[in-house]
Amino acid sequence: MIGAGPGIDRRSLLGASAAASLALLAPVGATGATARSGSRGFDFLIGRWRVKHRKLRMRLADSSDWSEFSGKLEVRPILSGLGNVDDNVVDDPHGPYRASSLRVFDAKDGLWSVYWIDARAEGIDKPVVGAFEGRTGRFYNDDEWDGRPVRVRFTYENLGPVRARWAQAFSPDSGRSWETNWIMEFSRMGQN
Amino acid sequence: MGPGGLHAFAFQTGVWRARHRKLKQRLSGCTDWMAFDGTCRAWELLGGAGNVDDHWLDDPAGPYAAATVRRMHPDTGLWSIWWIDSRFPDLGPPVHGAFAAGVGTFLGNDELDGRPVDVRYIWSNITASTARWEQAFSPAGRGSWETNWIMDFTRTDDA
Repeated sequence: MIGAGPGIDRRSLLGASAAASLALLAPVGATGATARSGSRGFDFLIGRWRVKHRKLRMRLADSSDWSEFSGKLEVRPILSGLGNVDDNVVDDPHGPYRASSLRVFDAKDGLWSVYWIDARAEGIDKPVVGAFEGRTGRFYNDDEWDGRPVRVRFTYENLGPVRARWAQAFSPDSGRSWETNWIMEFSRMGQN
Repeated sequence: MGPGGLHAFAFQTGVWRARHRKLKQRLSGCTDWMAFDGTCRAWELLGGAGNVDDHWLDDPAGPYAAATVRRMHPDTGLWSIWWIDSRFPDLGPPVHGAFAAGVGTFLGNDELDGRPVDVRYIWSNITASTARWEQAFSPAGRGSWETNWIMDFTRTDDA
């Protein structure tokens, strides 16, 4: 069972269909094809980064108590640019761990699937799915937190050549309200 | 290399030339194979509890990119393996297994033309400069394995 331990942060999907996951996305082309970066959407993230994590200690509990810790991230392309895979070293004060993300572009629908692989869990979680509009990419799925259905959103922001940001938010009300519970601020390593 | 567990796929780290031999039709009595070349680059993830290999396949039916993601179960030490074809990039069902006496055997379930099949990957002939991967299918539960794809790898870097 994924999610059996207190340290497992993103849990396997329960019963969400791909169609439901995509239902809240803007229709393809809604803002014009030029706004979408398509298969190049994650190019900015390729490389090695220092990471500053901020993580909400309690989720969906009106908490404003955050823990901060550091980490490292290395992102490498695969699939001739139609995907990438990364390797995280997370210095979580509850116990350091490793995790990887796998990101794969589907040319048929222009959407990315982002999979999270926690070395402490098993298997590969069902992906969040979405696309970039300009410098911001948003990716969604339906999951469960503490037995409650939640909508999950990942946001990636390209903040120029040496900075980037990722955030995870949960919505308990099908996307009407969101609580961000984890932020990673990326600073590029080895540029000078 | 251990019997499985951490770093079981460290042997693959590096750059390889692949010679592919692929059965033209699966589970239909076909004995007609096609051969083509490819390249492969692999590296470890998760401190040796994972790895990825990234392929370019000069398939005569049309060249394409593909990749494999592998991860170890943190408790059992068994590995799970997903193949990702960039043309149909959903993750298919994984195979699971381990190495014993230098040979890795990984089993799973999939579908072929709507029929349930058992899937087996075997890794063998692992030396500093070589490795072989092969895939076999059997109609589900029958144990009548038909090998349908072989990749013979030759290292092209100095690792």
